[in-house]
Amino acid sequence: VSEDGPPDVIGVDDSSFDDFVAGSSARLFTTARLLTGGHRAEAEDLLQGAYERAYRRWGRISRQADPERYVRQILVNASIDRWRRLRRHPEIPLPPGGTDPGAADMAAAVADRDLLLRGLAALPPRQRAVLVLRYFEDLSEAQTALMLGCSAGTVKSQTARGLARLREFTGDAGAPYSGAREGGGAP
Amino acid sequence: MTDFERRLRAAMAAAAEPAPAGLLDGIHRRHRRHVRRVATACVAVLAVGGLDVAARAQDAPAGDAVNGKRLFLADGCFECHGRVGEGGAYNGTAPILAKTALPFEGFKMQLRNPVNEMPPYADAVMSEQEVADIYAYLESLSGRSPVKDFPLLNN
Repeated sequence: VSEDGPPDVIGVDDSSFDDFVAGSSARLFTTARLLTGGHRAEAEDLLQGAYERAYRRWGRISRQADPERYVRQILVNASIDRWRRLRRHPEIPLPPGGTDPGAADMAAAVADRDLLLRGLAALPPRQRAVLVLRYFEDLSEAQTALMLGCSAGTVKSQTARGLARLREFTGDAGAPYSGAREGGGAP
Repeated sequence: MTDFERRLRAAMAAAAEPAPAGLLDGIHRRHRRHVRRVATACVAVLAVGGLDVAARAQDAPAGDAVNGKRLFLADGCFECHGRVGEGGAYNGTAPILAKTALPFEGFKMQLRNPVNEMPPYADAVMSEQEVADIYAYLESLSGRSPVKDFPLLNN
């Protein structure tokens, strides 16, 4: 089969799959980037692999109410599994807050966001996944627990720990984890 | 929601960017590779006469099970398939290899041109003899225990 030939799948509705990718890829790519701590190439590889797996089962998945959830689940699993397998991502020790010479000027929103995302990238992959699912994907504690295969209590404690480490990273002495809901799934 | 949580949410939302160009082509290319690997593995299994247990032992070249165990651990096979080939998981199920039902040729084909997420082990990194050694090690294991051996499952 030529690399340039048509997909080797019989009976797959390519147009609906293509539409699905077009409609979901921007958001899922961002999810993948956040899950991988900003590694663009790794995120692209994860996303491509997740979509390919969905493509194999597209006839069945496309009949589900939320096919995006299926791809997101693969992304989350793959991001954690990849880290476990490679073991090349040692935890980056968090520097004490406020030691960055530019920290005093961090009032600018862009700098603040950049600092938060760098802190997020420094978290252990599972803790990072919890925060991404809660605050980017806007899933509830129960939905996050289901996706990660753990209890809601674990999600709650991981969220609190992740936020605490992020606060430490950013030198923020703000309020603790609210645990209260607002809008969607995240507290 | 605390102010810090709001800032984190805003930071994540601001990280959004368009999907990479050529994503769809990449997915289809990847899928074609997958289909080819599956087809190759199926042909290999069929070519050696399926899963005949007697034949697989006879067809396998002589291997050193002790060295096979060393290689199985040193090369990282155990990370997915378990230290005694009991199986595991990586992006799906990693098969049980203890007393594998695969004939030697099928086993070698999977090593050289793996299906799914397994990394390939080309001749350059794993010689024919080393493959035979690992196969001998897996064949020396006890394999699955029957259900009757587990009292809890017989209650």
